Amino acid sequence: MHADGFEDFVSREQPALLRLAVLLAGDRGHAEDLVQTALLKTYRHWGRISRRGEPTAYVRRVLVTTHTSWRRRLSTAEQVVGTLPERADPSVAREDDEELATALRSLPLRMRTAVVLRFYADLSELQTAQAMGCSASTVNTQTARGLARLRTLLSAPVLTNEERP
Amino acid sequence: MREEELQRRLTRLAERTAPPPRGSLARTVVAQHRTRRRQVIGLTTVLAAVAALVVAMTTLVGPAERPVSAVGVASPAEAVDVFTGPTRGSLAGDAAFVEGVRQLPWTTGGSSGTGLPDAPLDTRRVVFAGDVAGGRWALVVGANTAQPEPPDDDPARQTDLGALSDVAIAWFTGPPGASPDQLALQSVPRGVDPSLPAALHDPASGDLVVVTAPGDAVELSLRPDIAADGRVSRAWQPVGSPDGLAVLALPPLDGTYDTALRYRVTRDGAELTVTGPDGVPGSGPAEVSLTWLRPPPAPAAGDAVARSEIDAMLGRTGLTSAETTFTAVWAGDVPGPHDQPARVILLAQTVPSGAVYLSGTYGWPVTDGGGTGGTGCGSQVTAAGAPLDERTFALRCDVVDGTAEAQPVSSLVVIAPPAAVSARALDAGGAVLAGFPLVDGVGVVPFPERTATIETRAADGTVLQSTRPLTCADLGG
Repeated sequence: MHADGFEDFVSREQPALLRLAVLLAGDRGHAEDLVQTALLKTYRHWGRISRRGEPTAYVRRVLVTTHTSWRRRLSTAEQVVGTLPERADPSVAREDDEELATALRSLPLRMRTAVVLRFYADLSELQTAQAMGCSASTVNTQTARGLARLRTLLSAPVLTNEERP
Repeated sequence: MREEELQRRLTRLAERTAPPPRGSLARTVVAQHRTRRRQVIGLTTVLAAVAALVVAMTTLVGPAERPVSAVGVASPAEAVDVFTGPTRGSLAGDAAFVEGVRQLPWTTGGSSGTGLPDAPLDTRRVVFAGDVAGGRWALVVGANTAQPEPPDDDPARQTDLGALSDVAIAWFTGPPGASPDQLALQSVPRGVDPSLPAALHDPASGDLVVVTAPGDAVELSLRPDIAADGRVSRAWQPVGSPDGLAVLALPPLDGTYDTALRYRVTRDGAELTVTGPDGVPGSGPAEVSLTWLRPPPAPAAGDAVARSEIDAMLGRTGLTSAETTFTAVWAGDVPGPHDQPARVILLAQTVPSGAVYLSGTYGWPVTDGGGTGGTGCGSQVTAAGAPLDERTFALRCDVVDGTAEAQPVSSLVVIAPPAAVSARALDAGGAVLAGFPLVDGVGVVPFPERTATIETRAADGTVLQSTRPLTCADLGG
C-alpha cells in the first residue's frame, strides 16, 4: 500500500487540522470525526497526493468539503452544537471564547468557513476559494457578510483594517 | 476589534478547544481503509458465493449459523463493522422472510437511475428484520454502486460524506404483519461509514431501531430539557442493546420530523457518536392553535412558512402540540429583493417549564408559481417570566431571492409593548447608530450595521427596555 510518509504527515499536521476542525465544527467530538474522515478520504489517494507535493492544502480542502457535507445532512443549525471543553488555563478569558464560539456557530456555514479560513488559517482569497470550491468573489462576499454578522454578535465589534479609526 | 484581534481570538479559541492529537490516528486510518477494501471484497466476492447458498443454509441450520462477512475476520486492531454477523431482530429466524427482504428493490418508480446506490442482489445482506410496535422494519446492506466516477472520485470534489463508502444501506418499513412485498423502501439508500451505527425513527408511532456493533452501549435522550430559567440540558437513559440492537417504542409525536431525539453510542468505554436517527416522515404538521398578540396582517404568500416553522419547532423541542403553546408575537412585512416584500413572523413556543423558545422566520415568494422560500431571522430560549406582550424583541432578517449570488436585503425588526414609541440601535460601545419611531410598538428599518443592542423609549424619553437581536438558540444541551 502507498503509505510512504502518511504517518509522518499525520503526526506533523494533526494538531493544526484539529484546530481548524474545531473552529469549523464547533465542538470537539465533531472535530475529531472530521479530521479522521478527511484523512481517510485522503489516504485512499495518498500515492497521487504525496507525489503532487501539496498534501496539506489537499487535506484542508477535504476537511472543508467533508464538513460541508455533514452540515448539509443536518436539517437545522441547532443540531450541531457543543460546549467548550475545559482546559486548565486560567489566564485566558473564557467568556470571550464562549462569545466567539457562539457567534461562529450562528454564522451560516459558508460564512463561517470563509471567516475561519481567511482569519484563522490566514489563507488568501484564492486559497480560500480553492478550499471551499467556489470563486474568489464568493469568498470575498461571504467573508464580508461574516464579518458584518460578527460585528453584531460580539461585544467588541470587528473592524476591517480600512475602518480603523 | 480589529482583524488582528479577531485572528488572535480565533487562534486562542482553536488552541484552547481543539482535542489533543492521537498518536494512533494514522494507524487507525490505515486500518480503517484496509477494512473497507476488505469489506468490498467481502461484499462482491465472498457474499456472491454465499448468496447462492444462504437460503439453503439458513433453512438447514438456522440464521444463527449464517456465515459472517470477510470483515468479521479482520484483525482486532481494525475498525468495527456494525453490519456484520447474522441477521438481527425478531424475524431473523424466518428465513423466507429474510430472503424476501433481501430481494426487495432498492429503487422506486422515480428513483431508478438517479445516482442513488442500488446494491446488486448478490452483495446484499439483511442486517435487521423485525417487528416494531407500529409495523415491520428491515435494514439491508450492500455494495455502494453510487461511488463517483473519475474525476469525481477525487475526495476533494465530494460534498457527500457517504459517497465514497463501499457500503450502502436501505431501510424498509411496512404495516404490522407485513409480508416482504408489503415493505416499502424508506427514504433513500445511501453510502455509510460501516463503523458507525444506523438508526431509524418514526415520530408518528414512536418506533426506534438502533443497529450498532455487539458490545456497544446505547443511550437515548428524547429531547432537550429546557428549564424555567432558560438553561438547556439533556438527560441520557441507557437502553438495552443486546447483540448491538435496540428496538424501542417511544412516545409518539405529532410533527413531521423529530429532530430533538439523540442517541449516543459508547464503544470500548469511549464515546463513539452522538447523533439523531434517520426519520420516517411523521403525520405531518400538527394542527396548532396559535394565539396572536397583535392582529394578523392581511394574508400573503410568505405566510406558508409559519406552519412549517411551527412543525420544525415541535421537532426541535421534541414536544407534542398538547404539551406546548404557540404564540405569534408579531407578523408583518419587511423589504425583500426585487421590491418584493417578505413576510416575517416571530413565533414563541412556551414549553412545560414556562421558558419560551422564540424563532423568527421569513417567507418570500420565490417563483410566480406560488413557491415560498425563506429562512430564519434568529432564535433564542428565554426564561419564564414576564408575559410575552410585555417583552421586547429584535430580529435581523436577511432576505435573499434564493440565487447563488443573492444580495441580502437586511432589516431590523423591533417588537415592543405599545408604550414604546421609539427605538435606538446602539453599537457595542453605546454609540447611537440609528433612531426610529415605533408604531404600536413595532418598527422595521434597514439594519444598521454594527448594531449590538436595541433600546426602546417611552414618549417621555424614558428608556423602557434594552435587548439584543436574536441569534441562534442552542438546543443541543
